[in-house]
Amino acid sequence: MRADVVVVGAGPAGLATAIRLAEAGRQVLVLARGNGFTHWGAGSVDVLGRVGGEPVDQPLGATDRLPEGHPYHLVGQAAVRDGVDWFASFAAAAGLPHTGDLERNRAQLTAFGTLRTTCLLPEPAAGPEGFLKGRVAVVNFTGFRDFSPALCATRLRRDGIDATPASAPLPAWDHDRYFTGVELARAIDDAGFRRRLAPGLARAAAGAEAVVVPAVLGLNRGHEPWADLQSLVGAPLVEAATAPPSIPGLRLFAAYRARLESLGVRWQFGFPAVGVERDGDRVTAVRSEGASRVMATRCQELVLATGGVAGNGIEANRDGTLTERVAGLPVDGFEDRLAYLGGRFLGDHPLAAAGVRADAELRPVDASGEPVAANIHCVGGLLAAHDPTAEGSREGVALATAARVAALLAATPAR
Amino acid sequence: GGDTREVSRTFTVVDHPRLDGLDNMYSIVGGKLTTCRQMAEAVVDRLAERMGVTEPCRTATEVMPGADHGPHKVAEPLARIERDHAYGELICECELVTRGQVRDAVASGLTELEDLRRKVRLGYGPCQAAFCAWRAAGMLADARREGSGEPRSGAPVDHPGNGSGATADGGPDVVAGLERFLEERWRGQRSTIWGDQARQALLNHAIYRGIFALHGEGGPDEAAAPSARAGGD
Repeated sequence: MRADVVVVGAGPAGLATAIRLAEAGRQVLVLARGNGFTHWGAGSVDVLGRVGGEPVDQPLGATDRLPEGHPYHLVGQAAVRDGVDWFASFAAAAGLPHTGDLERNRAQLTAFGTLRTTCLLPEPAAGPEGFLKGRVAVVNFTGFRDFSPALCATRLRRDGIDATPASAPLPAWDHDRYFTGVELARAIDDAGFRRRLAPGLARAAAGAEAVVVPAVLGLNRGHEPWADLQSLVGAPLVEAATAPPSIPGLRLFAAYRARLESLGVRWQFGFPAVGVERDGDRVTAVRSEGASRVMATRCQELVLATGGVAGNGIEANRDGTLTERVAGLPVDGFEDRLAYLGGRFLGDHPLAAAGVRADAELRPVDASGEPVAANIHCVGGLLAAHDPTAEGSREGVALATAARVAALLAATPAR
Repeated sequence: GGDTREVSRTFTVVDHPRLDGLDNMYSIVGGKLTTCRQMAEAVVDRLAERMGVTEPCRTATEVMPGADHGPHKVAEPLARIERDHAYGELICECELVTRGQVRDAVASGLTELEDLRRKVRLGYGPCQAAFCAWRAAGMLADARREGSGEPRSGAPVDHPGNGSGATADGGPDVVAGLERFLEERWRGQRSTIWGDQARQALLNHAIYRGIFALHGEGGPDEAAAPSARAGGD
């Protein structure tokens, strides 16, 4: 098997990188073990929520305060802007318009009634300006087990928001006894179902200025089901971020996948990359587990988007050392495994910030700062010196590094 | 060591009076825990016969201490699910804890996730409460609301102005209880985590801290304390 560029990993970084490389004229093969964080996250674009533990108002400006070696410093603010702007255009063209900009962070409502910090929000999650200052109805769909309006409303009220829990009955529909958010979202894709659902939802809202519902308003029709239901109900509907699987994430994944297919990007799902072949300082092939044997795919360029420890791109060994799984890239380990994790679960964990150190061209480097290979690039959570969860930067780092690699590799004519 | 499933379940009562001329001794050999009550019955039947005890045998119907659900019949779990579908729905896929079990535990008066953990084993499995904890927290919140008498239907209750800081029914904050639960789980497992468990821990962190923005009890985050290297791990 031959490819021009192999991208390993199909999370936020791998998908954006693969699309942008294909848009820049490269022929791309995506190898992925499974789904990435797109399926898990809140369905929004986090750029920078906290620096040094303190909340940030202006995500782009605050990148100045990040420590040296942070991916945002490696690629520069221009790449951050390029990455986020590209995403906003891509998503809008795919029927998933987002609100927000790099000058100001925004609050996103969650199913727990908490507010998380993010930069770009899909429109169904945004809500009208200032809606939390008015009366809010928190409404579940009767029988949907993964959202508790009581839990959500209680927390909102604790934080001074006038929130009232309620339930809206679902019209009769064909479903398994225990239906998931995915099945409900698919049902809501149907216009007739929405027409039958809307009156009960409107009654449950009972004149509230905004209605918070779990993020299940459609799966395969972009934001159209949300927009339609909102107009039928006659009040703003706000999707609260739920636990995985992320329906908004699945909408985005479907859009990414459709774009990749239209660009002719080949895709091998369920085929983990397990090694590389080298000739001197170049990778000549990527080895991946096929159905019955290990396959070697020859390639000009290799982009690793495998995530850090959380993404399964790096293994945390018992003795405190870390191993990068595909190419054996150098990764700084720890004194021992007790240093991996902090004392509080909800605090910070050093292991989450561990990764591969890279240069300004996102090539992995050794301890002296020299690139370990000429044609490997690293994007996303695999990179060192940032904790995407603690600092709220996962999608921003993915998009900024994808932008950088696409620019770098587009400049090189395909051989 | 190794897989014990292949060990035979058959057992034998060795009749020493008949075989060895030892008049007052029996041995029982073989068997597995699954057959222990049958083995006990077989031995005691021999003894009863020898000793002229004619009491009817109650082994098949006697409920052992701690077996709250009474004698177990093979088809009973299925029958129970058919009667009440909550027993067929998993809240905790790792430990196979059903909605019915959690609901019963909550109805019996348990109000904290820590109590649910002890009663039904919530959060003990490989995912370390990634999914069951927030589902159970939702069930606790719903139970509190139902207990407070608020209507469950679409009509909202008329609440005065802004929230007072207490919950709608005056009870403790379920989300705060969830944070405490997660921290309590963490204390027990933190020092044993590497490999796949490290991955799971960071994914759980990405859910509760990253998606749900839970921070726990304020205060500065403790950095992981570097430890002296123990002699050989």
